[in-house]
Amino acid sequence: MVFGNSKNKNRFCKVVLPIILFIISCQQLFIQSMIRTVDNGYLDILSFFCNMVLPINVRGVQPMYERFKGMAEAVGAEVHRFAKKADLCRFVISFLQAEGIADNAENLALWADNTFIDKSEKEQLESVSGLKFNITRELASSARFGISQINWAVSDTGTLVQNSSDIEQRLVSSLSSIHIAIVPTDNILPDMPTLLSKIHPAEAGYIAMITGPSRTADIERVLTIGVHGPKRLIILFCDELERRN
Amino acid sequence: MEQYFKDSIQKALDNNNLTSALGKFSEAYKVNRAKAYEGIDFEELRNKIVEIKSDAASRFEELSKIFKTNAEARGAKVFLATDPAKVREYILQVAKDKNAKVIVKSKSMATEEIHLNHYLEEAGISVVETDLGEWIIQLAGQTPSHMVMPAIHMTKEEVADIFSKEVDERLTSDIPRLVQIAREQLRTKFFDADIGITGANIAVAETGSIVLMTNEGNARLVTSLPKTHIVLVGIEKMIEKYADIAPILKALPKSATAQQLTSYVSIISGPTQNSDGSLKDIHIILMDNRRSEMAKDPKFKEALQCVRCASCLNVCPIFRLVGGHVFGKVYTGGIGTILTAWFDELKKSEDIQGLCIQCGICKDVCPGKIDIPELIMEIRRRLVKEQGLPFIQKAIYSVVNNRKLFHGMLRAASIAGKPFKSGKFIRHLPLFLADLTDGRSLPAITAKPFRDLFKEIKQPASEEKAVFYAGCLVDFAYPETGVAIIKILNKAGIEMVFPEDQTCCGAPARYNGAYEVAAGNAIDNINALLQKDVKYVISACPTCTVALQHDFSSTFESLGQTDWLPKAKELSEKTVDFSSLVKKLVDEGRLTLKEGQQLALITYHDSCHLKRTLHASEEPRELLTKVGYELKEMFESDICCGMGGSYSIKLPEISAPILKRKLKNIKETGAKLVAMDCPGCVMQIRGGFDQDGTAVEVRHTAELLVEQLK
Repeated sequence: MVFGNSKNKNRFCKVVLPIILFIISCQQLFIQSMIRTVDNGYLDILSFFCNMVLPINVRGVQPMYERFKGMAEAVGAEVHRFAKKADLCRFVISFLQAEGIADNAENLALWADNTFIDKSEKEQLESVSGLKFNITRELASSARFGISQINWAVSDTGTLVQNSSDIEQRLVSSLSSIHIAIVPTDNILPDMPTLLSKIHPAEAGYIAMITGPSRTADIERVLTIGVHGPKRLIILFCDELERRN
Repeated sequence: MEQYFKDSIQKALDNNNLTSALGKFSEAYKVNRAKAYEGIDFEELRNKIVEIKSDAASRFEELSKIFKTNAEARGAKVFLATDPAKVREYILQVAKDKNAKVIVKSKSMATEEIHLNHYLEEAGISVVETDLGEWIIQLAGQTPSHMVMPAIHMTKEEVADIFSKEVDERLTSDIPRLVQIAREQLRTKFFDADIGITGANIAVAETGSIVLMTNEGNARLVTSLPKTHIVLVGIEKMIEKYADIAPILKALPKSATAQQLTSYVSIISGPTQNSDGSLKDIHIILMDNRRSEMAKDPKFKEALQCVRCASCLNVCPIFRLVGGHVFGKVYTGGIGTILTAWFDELKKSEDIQGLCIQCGICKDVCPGKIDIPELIMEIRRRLVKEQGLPFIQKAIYSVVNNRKLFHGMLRAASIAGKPFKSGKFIRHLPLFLADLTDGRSLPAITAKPFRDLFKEIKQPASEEKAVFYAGCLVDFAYPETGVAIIKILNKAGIEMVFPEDQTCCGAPARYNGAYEVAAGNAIDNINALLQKDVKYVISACPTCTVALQHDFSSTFESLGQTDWLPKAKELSEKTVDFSSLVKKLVDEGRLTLKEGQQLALITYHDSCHLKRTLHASEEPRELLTKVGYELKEMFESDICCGMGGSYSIKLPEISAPILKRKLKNIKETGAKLVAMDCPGCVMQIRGGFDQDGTAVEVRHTAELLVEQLK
């Protein structure tokens, strides 16, 4: 059809072809720039493809997210992903309410440090009965839910990594029965060596890695979840959160 | 071997909970470990670990100083200690300064090494172990039976009883409920504690950091809730660079429990704030306790590459039968034997080193690439050097070292054994020898040894000659194996020579630490076997082959007899095991096998020395399937049969159940024929089936192949 007559052929050569060539060269440039910028040795053909179709803040991350999800679920963690912060907050609220959050010592939810959420979201969250942002050792000793922010996720082991120098982050994530961990999707890293190049003891006096819930097999080798730490680990990725490490 | 030690072995063997839990674990471990390492180049990974840890071991003093400087710059207090007594005093002083009443601990082998709990409790301080297994053991007043799973020997009913007393409530054996009880009980301890004590899995010099790995999350609480944190770390945990924790984090959980990573890893670098705003008081004690002395020992420095994963326990065919209690109080299993000899004293390892059957499976899985069997042999050698040989062994070796007398006695034994003989076996022996035939018949000593038969074999003359090294078993028990090998090699146009002066390969002496005797055997054999016009020295016994190929040199090196090394090397280069040589001859077209036949269903047993020292496991399988045998692999084909030379004589109570398991695995394949390349294994397994009454034929590969030559 396009080559039906000379007029059409002319138009094709002068207008359509340059546009196609332009698009192709843009894609080439883009791919090359991706290779240069995301030099972590982990990009493959699949992630090139993902780069072309996914929104900007998750480019290159999709295969690592899939891998992370698989590894974390294999050790008993629950993994969810949200595009928007608002979606994530709504999920947290409905999850806590479904699990029976209440304003008594045993059913509190403690949310440690909240640089990920801004003022309006915080106000919305504060209206939930039993959800607290002021954390003390006493409250943490009995609170059922702990919510903390995680700096990095390592995909090949399904591990969360946190600068835990702040004691509050540790109290809510190690004493609660259900730990909800919030991670920027952009901060998924391929492996341990990459992680160690990103987080250093000079900036973090206490680095905590968490892989699944607390577990033991000390009685008759039977795997039992939730000895000293959380019995459930809920990992929430958010695409909208920026890298802040 | 002391009687109380024999008693403790018997007690462990009689403990069904222990043997069944450990047995099941070791079977599952093998599969899960392989899965955890899928897609990972294990050799590359452990070479990296060796590089990191051996470099650190050569610079302990320097790295400890760097660690101290960096950790103190971050606000921790660092105490370098050589002596366990000083460590205990230091910790008690900190406790007194803090007026501490309760101390919580996460699992630490270093604190066990110096018996810290007992010392602090005597000073009136309550010390609570918080690792679930350790807490169970502490409440029960027992000691750990495994480095990673301390309470593996206890049943849930026993745990329920112990916990019932603790909470004064009748508990059932519901495991999740028992775990919940531990959670609640220990929670209050964490909050009450004045001090938390931990060990460390890694210490990093360049950042002054310590790394802690747990699954339960107790170390996180121990390091977060009390205001004071004391770390006791052996200096062998030191590495130089922060980035180098990655390979250790990669290997340790996979090797320990087949996990990708433990649930929790904490990297602590100096104090952080407590919840009341005060700064945590961190004391790090770098303990030497003979480690730097070990680092200077040319043999034992290798043991400092250990990352304490306990995989050498998990794969050990002996450990899974007897567990950790027989090893004494602290470090157990293969690596534990070595550490006990150093951190405690050489004498303390005298009994436990005898538990090692030298099968070598542990060195294959060790992420620190430690040749544990070789180091245990070195312990034996040093013990013998220090204390001399026991009288009976001395008497035996004086015979073995005199070939004519030794062979004369073997010929006499052929006659002496007659009253006990039925067919080709000795099924029962009287009195104290009865144990030897418990579960396994012994081969009757042949009336006509191979050395006499050899003279009657008519060989075609050839330019190409090879020496046949028979070894004691082929010579005096299974001469037919030797005859088969002569026939096979004749077919390939090789004329076999049998030097009459060849004698015992020295393995029995060497494996018992009698290196001087082994060296005597080595010299006699070198003189007998090294002949100018001979291309190969071939043996049908992998243990003898290993002796000729590896052990002669290593024995001379250990004794400093370096003038014999060139000849030992020359012999080593000519020596080859039967299956590898035949495979080569077939590949070169010099031997033609009958192919395409339909022969019986067989299974193949890998002999320890053949598979793990000579690295031949595919060759015999290829040859046997090529001639038409249908091969069905048995479960754990490369696990020891329990023979181990004189091991089955010294510890028949351990050898027998290992053999029983091997027989079971063979029977489960449904094959009525089992092949192997070692006359020692033939003796053990054939004798086992004779007593067991199952009609399974046990044959040396050579005997099966000789019938299938064109």
